[in-house]
Amino acid sequence: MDSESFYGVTLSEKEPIAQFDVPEIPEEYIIHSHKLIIKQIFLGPEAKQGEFNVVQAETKVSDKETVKIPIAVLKVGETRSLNPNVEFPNGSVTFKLVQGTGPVYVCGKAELNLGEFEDGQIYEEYSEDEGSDLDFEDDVPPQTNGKSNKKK
Amino acid sequence: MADEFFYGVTLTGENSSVTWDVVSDEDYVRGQKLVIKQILLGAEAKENEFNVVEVHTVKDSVQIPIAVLKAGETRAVNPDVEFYESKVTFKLIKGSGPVYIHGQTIRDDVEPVDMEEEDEDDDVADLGDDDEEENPKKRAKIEQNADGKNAKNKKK
Repeated sequence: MDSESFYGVTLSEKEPIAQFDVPEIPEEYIIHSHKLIIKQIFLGPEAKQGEFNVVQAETKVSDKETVKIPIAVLKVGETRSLNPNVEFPNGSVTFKLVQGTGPVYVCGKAELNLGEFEDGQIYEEYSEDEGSDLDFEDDVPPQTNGKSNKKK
Repeated sequence: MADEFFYGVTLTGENSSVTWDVVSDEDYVRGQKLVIKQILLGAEAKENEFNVVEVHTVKDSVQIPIAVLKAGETRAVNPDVEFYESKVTFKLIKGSGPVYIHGQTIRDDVEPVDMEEEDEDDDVADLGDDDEEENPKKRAKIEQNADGKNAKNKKK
């Protein structure tokens, strides 16, 4: 089962941090994979002239290491928006406005690939088939016993 | 399942370089790839200075710029290029940076689809067939025995 949702957050001097975490899901499901894709980062019209606005991302780059790196550098009069199209697969990400007062808008989408506990049901179907075979074999022995009695 | 991770590295100054290489691991049957989505000039970069990032791939022996950035003109580019199963080096051949390179690494260990699942179904079907073959024989024996038994009972 696949699920997608729009992702949009605002970073500013007052709220410079946005955290994206692996979503919580109901018990009947397991997460196969999830991914956050950042499509566009841009400056609001109120942003100040002559000021750099820098968005930094912090995330895992392997099972052991994390990295903090700028993913957007915006400036009124030079760069109003960027389309990073970067993906953050299977982990938490923290976005922080490390320079400038914003507002900076970060947009993208979150993809979630869930598995239902269908696997258990599939195994139950197979065991039902085996059960019916066993039942058939169970019918046979009494008749065989009858046969052996008859020999005596 | 493919191992995917965010890739983010920094070229800090003129002539600095960063290398990515495949992991020599037999588990990644379908190969490993590096995808470059964005190359971005840092806020501290000097105005009107060209910053040029060159890529060198070992497998194809290619050496070519993939980004030309300049503060006040081009802050970032989106190459969306991929490097499959090759050692790759990014070098800042012009400018003092800093330049940030973003993308993702994909290490695919998904095994090719095999025919085992169909074989399993065939095995189950075969078992069923075997039972059907045996049962008629068993039924025939049972019927013979039953006839014999009935005959004896009748005699008595």
